[in-house]
Amino acid sequence: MAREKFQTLTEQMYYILLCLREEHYGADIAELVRQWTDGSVVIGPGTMYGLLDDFQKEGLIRLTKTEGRRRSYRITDKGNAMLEAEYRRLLRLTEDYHKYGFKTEN
Amino acid sequence: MLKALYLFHAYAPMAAQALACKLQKMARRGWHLTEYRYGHLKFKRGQPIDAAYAVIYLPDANEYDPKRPESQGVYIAMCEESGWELVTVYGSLHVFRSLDPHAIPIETDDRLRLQMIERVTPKPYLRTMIFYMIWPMIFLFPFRYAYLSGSLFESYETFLVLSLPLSLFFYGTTELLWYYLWCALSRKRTAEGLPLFSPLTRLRVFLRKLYALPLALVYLRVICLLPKWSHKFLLLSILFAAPLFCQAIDDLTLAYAKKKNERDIYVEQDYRKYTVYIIQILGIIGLVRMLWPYFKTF
Repeated sequence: MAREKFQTLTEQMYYILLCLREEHYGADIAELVRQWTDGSVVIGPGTMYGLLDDFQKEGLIRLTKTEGRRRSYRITDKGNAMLEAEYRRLLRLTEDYHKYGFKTEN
Repeated sequence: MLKALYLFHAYAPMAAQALACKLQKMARRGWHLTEYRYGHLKFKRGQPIDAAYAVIYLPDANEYDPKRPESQGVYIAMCEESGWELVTVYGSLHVFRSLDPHAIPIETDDRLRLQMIERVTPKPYLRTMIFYMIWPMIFLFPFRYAYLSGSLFESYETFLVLSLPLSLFFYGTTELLWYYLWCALSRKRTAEGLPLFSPLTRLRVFLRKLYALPLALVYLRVICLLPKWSHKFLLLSILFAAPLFCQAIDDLTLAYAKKKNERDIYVEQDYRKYTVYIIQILGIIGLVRMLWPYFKTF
């Protein structure tokens, strides 16, 4: 069931994995995503916690450091593969849009 | 001037959003939540502020165990780092407040929010509701012959005593029905990319009121069977007094608040719980009346 859940990534999932190509604290990721996307993608702390927990259980990210109640994470090889697959899927969608979308409009 | 205010609030993870809106309205009127205990919200008087509230039900929490799971500490720390302060905790219920009314909400993914509610709800809540449904059936089982022979409702004290488990049964049933209906509608909406089902309180209060209908029918049956007019009058008044009684409580609260220059006081109108309280009080009175002759012999 969990595998099915991550077959396609939501915007929030995509950006969290992208952030974690470098080590980051959970709480810092939301601010980074907000800056990268000019505020178009916002992640609440509760949602962030839930997603990080799910990713960790699925082995997509790993816990690297714990400082008190703060935890930092980094993406795993499995997570990287999933991010790459999602990137390729989005790229294919974009290519198809340019390939067929404009033709049908014209 | 009023310094503290207590309002009832039943445990209901699916009404978390409605509670958050209510807390925001109260803060704008100068009433700030300080704690939640045993079904009551406690507010203290302060300066009116425009703050955002979030009501979160976290799994793995237990009101009987003071030791909080480590995961909750991490969750709370993440919220605090994002500008949300923890106001009160009771079991799985966590209330957060942010002084920025436009703060990024704690939950920004409705699908995850629904998952969390479904994960947290079955533990304490559904078990209790199922118990409320089953226990009255077991309790009422020995009375089946009395019911079939038509002698069950001959004594109005007996009926009042039986109305206790009946009220619990209807309460449990409507709560369960509401929970599954809300989850089904919310699941459908999140699959379509829409927010969770939102007319939270109205429909819930309507469903909870609906439970009073079978009770009313039973009351009417009792009225027909009772020979004495005084009993008839009494039971009719029980039936119709509940909403009037609730209205009277609200009116009195408002009148008192107006006298104390608290014109914008918020009064929750949830007649269901008052009705349950009245039925239960009457049941206890019935029980005392039934047992009174035995007490007198001692």
